[in-house]
Amino acid sequence: MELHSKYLTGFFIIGALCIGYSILVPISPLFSYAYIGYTSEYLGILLTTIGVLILIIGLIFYYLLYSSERIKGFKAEYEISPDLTQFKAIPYSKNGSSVQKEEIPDKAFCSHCGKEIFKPFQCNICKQLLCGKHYLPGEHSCMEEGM
Amino acid sequence: MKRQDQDWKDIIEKEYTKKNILDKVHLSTHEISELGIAWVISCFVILVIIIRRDRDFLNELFAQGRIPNELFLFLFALGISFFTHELMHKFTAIKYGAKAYFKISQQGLMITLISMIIGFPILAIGAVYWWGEATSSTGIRGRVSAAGPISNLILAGLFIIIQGLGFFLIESMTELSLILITIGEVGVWLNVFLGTFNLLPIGVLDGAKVLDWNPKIWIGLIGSFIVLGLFMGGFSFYIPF
Repeated sequence: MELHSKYLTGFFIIGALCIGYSILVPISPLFSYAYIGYTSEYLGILLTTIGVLILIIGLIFYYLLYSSERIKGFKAEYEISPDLTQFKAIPYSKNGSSVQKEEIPDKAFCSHCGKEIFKPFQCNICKQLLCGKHYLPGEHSCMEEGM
Repeated sequence: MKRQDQDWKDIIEKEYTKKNILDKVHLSTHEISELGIAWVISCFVILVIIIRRDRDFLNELFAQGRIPNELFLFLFALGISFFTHELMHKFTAIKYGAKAYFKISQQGLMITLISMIIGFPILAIGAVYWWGEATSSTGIRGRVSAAGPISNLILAGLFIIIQGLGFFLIESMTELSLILITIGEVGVWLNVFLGTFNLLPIGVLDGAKVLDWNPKIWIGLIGSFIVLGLFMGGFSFYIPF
């Protein structure tokens, strides 16, 4: 949805709210007549049933909140079948089988010489962050840790 | 990074996680104090608006030196509904891997003070600020904002049940039943007010994000709140002056 159309729908919604407000607010005191003329036991039964109903409605809404719908742009992994015809979304997990992209920070300290560097390199083997001089495996102490 | 540094980091992290119980619930004393301040301010605003509408309210409350029970019950009910509303936002945001905290905002405070002067209640003292990878999706934004009004709906149901229990006990235990009925009434009224107000689809309120995510859920929520407000009297607060 584009921006100007969003504003238009917003104006429509506000107009509908104003109309609804002008209808609902004067009517609402009339509904109190629904409780006149009943005994306290009847009112108790009525109110508890209404309360239980509303509780159930609220719990249904909570169930809808956490339902397993596919969420766009969120951490999810895809499993592809061996013949590459089907794929399905699976929940995010830190298994060894899955490949995940790690974000490299903009600023870091070289782990060999300790200089502060902008846009560091990452060694493919030991995953350390390094400066331009020491990013090759022969220059820093590679394979010593992080494997 | 050397191995010794890594060991030290692990030790420090373990120490910090062990010590503080609040860290396990993702809360801090600062945040709880801000929530408490917002609670007190919202109580003050609502009471001022009520007193401005009917002048006899204060005289009835403090008539002949009796203890104003209704005031404490009102404070209690507002505290429960306000805290659950804000904390449900926070915990759902944390559930989806985001970082979230409640904070009082200056602009919101100004808006609430102006609304107190006008006489139409707008409670926007603070909000739950949250960020992370999850904010990029409309689905999660909608879920996090829908969590607050849904908690208000559930609380309204609980308060109606309390009211019904009060009507059951009115012959055997009159004093307790009166307390139960008043707290139920006040709680239902407050929760309907908070829920409907937050579900309005305007700007920064929760309703716009829920409508972006799923219009069906928004219609269902606001419909249930309108039916509740008509039968339980939650809309009387919206009448200006």
